[in-house]
Amino acid sequence: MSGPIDWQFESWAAFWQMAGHGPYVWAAVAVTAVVMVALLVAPLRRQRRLLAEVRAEQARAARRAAATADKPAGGKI
Amino acid sequence: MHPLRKQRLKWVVLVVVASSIAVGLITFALRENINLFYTPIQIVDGEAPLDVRLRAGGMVVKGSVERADDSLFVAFLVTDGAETVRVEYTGILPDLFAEGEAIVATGVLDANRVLQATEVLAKHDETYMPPEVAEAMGQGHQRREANKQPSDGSYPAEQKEHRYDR
Amino acid sequence: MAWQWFHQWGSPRWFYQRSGVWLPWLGGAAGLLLAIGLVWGLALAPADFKQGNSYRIIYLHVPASFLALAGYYLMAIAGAIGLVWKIKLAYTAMKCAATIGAALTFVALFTGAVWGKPTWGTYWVWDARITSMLVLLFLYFGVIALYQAFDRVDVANKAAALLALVGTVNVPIIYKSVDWWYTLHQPASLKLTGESTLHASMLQPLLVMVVGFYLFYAAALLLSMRAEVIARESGGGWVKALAAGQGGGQQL
Repeated sequence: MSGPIDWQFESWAAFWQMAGHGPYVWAAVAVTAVVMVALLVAPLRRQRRLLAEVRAEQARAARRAAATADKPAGGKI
Repeated sequence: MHPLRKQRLKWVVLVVVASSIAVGLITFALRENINLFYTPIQIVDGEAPLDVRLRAGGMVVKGSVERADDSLFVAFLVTDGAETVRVEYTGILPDLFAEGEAIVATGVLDANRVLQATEVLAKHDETYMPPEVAEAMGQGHQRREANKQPSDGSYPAEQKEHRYDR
Repeated sequence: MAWQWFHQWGSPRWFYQRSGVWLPWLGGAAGLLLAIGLVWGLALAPADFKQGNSYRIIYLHVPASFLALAGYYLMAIAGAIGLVWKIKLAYTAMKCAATIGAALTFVALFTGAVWGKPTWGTYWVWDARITSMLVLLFLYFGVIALYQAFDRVDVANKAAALLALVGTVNVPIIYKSVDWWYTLHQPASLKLTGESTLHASMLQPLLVMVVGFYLFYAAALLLSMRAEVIARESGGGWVKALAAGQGGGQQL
């Protein structure tokens, strides 16, 4: 007789099979895990993309500023 | 609080209260349709229509299950503690189907008020426990067979109250 | 007065900095509890006397359902705060809560379906509990759709907040549906008042999972709100400084 806090399965194979209920239990685990990871990864990726866009915009602005600063030295009317 | 904010807060509360009342009235009007199944007493009293697809729910009466030898035909009685209805079904029963357990059957009531079922679902309750505990409490399957309850179709009043009399 | 504290939340920059401090703790605690709860529930807790191992889905189904419902209240309250106090961050919280809530409602429905098959004998039944849960999913979708439908953010904010508030009536209906009507779904095992009908050895890992899901929800909401705040404030000086400071591709 097993106590309430012993390992319930004899082997990994038994753990995956769960006496026939494995496909249901593991499908639930897999879908839940995918959704939860997506909920964390999606905003992190979005934030990285947004900040990269801000940086790209800053770089463009810096290039424009440099270009206009160069011009007077070249051929200003 | 700023009077303008107080005003807006009143509107917010009004929206919630008004929509709750509206939905409350709708669900009250539709309350019979929201029930998933008819109970045996409703069927015996003639509340359930004949020749229409409907569901009946209740507990499988102990000792009432008859199985055919050569097919998947099965017949049993379901009860709500007050009345019983006979269900006839040909097909595979869910794993949790057992005498003394609750089921919900979909089908058509024939002229004899026998439910000709096309689907039988098991309805389990909200108690969960390890098998050893169930056995110790006399609720295990084997134990249950051993100290049989009266086979008049009644089941513990506490359980009945829990499941059907709300 | 407490209003000072309340109005701090009006500053996106303040929120971004504070949440950055909280997130590692929240995320760490959530990950730890979810890992413990999952191993405990899937491998250590005893099987059920009737359902066998399929009942183990409870360790995902119940916490996801709790957060789907609690998250709806959070979304509606955030919408109400946005409507009354015109705090933009409240609308941000509402918008982000809609996505997370929809995802968790989907998880609740999916785990319920794969639990229903081995126990009830069907993936789906149109009983009051499951149908009202599906309505909850559509309410979340509605809030998300309103943001897509309106070009003007202030209009979308108000419309979404109103829908969120109207939908709150569905939450007590979901909760009480199993008591008010005949359903296939069983009544609650975990009760706000009164004793739980789960054996203690099965209840303990469930409580761990529930707390873990609450912490996960908080972390996911903060992450999502931080990205939303940056999207909204991308022209602001502090976001530019933040972006410049992260030139090496550092996160957080």
